[in-house]
Amino acid sequence: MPEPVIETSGLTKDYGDVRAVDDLDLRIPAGTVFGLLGPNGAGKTTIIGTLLGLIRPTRGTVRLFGSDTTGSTDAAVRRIGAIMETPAFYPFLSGRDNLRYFQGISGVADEGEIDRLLDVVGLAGRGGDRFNTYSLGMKHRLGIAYALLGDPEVLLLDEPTNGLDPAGMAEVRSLLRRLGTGERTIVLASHLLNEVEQVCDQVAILARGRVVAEGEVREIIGRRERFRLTTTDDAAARTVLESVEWIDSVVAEADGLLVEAPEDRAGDVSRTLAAAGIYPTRLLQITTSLEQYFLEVTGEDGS
Amino acid sequence: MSWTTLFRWEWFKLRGRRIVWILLGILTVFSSVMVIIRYADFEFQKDRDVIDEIIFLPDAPVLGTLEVELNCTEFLAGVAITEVPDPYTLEDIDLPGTGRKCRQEVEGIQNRLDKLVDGFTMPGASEKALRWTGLLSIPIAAFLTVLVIGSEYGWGTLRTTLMKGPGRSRILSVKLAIVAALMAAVWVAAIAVIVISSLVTTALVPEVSHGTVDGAAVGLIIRDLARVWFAAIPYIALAALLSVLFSRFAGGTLAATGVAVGYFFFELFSMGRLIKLFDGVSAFRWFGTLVEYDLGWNTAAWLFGRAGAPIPGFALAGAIGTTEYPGDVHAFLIQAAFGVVLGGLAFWLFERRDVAGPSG
Repeated sequence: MPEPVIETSGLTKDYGDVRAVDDLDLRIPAGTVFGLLGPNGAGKTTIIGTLLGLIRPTRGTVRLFGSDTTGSTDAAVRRIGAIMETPAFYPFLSGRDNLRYFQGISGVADEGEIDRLLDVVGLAGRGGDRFNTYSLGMKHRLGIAYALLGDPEVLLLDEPTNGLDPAGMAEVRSLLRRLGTGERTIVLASHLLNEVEQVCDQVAILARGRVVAEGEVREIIGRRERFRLTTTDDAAARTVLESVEWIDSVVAEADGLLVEAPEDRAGDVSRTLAAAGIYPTRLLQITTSLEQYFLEVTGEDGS
Repeated sequence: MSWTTLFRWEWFKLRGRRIVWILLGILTVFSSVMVIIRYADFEFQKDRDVIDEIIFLPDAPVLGTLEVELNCTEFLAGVAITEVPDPYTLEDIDLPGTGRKCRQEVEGIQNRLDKLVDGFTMPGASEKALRWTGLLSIPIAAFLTVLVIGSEYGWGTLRTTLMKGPGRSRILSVKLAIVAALMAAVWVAAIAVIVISSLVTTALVPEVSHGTVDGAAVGLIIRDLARVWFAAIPYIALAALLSVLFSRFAGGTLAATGVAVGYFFFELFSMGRLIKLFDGVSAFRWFGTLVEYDLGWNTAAWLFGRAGAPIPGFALAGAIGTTEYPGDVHAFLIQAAFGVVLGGLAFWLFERRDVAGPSG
């Protein structure tokens, strides 16, 4: 497993009586596109802010690129590009001048890079316009260009598509997928499940400042694959399937059985039953979306 | 990344803000207006007739109860008084006494005219104009500081800036340095405007001799510039502290401006009244001692006390005479102490505070 570029240990942040982040241990390996998924108020922005040194943790440590940065993040932060919520820029400066300023205070002077980034985010034609004339979508795109200044090793993106229309969202996600194909590490904090599902390799699901589930996105979706099954003898089928090692659970329902098993084992379910002289009359695969899983683990489904 | 690079980029950003130019423009124009006002006042006063009252002898029918106006200029030039109202007669007039009073009045007017001339001719023009402009520069410097720091919180751009890793204390020092540098630059512009205004107004009055601007006068001008520049420093520190302090609130920039500028005007116009009020009450005599360490009192004394000029506000409140001006060294040390303490607190807080998004 690659070395973690971001690592937190016991990270806790209290705002008065409210605990925004609760004893968070997070390891984000280099080169991954990592999703921080959680409903609003789950602590995503606080975590990103803490990683960037904008928010001081109440307890715990942050390690960036292998060094403890809890006290001073400046050197490490220069290797990170970030967007937090709606990007904030100087309203009286043009998009291009905003980028020039932020590039300048990073200690870099490369006008070519600004042209290139404006082109990448589709703002080449509007770079000279003042920021306060930009639409929300354009502001987000400028935010991505800002984050990409200096070709950072890590991108921390907090709700990068917040407030965008569907076309804008698709555009940004497509850009993120392209950016995540190299060695760059991307951390995407979002409350949009499909966004994380489409863009990320790994995900940590947050609720009330804690990680409630963590792993590869596929694994999380895969591990919850279920089949609805009716057979010539449901009671016997249940007994047979319960003894199979790779089947997680078998639940009897009014109209058949609900079998929890890996998604690629549907054929094996049929074969196992047939070997016992029981034949499926219906086998329906139920793909549990990340959304369902998310609602279950965050307790937002009312359970 | 070097400090000078950050300074350069801070200027790159700041130069695009119209309000900065407006504020600095106001200060520069005001310094010129201070010269022009004195010239205009001189023009108005110089041709005015000196009017005084006729003094009547003790055995006149009514002693000093009737106001009889006399044109002193004519009287001193030898024009005789030809009529007086009833019940007086010309014999009732105390001519020597009236003459003395008229001469005093004329001398008073002449002194005033001399002061006005000194106020619009170099090198006196620079000292007087800078003194008053220095007073105005304090709320402007405070406002400018709040704009430079508070707006970053308001727009949420402080977060965007710090995310590029320049370092908190370096960013704050650069912001404070640029305000201080702008104030220094505006004083250079102001002195140029004052000199031009003085040359023009002096040229309009042929009877007035041009002042000599020798090396000593230039030295005094430089000292005055340093003095007015320094007077704003503690208020820049105060405004920085307030900007950071109010950063969490929506409208924090407005609140910080209000408190910083309000504090200055409160001290200017209220402290004198309080001194006077408490001076008469033995239980509150300590207040006079406390005021000696007050920022506003020492700033006013630093700008106005040296020349023995009345301190605005304190003079309005009639406090002059009840409390002595602090000396230059005392005023300097108090201002420096306020600057260091307030600035230090601003840095301490800026370094520790969480930086959130736009605060409105």
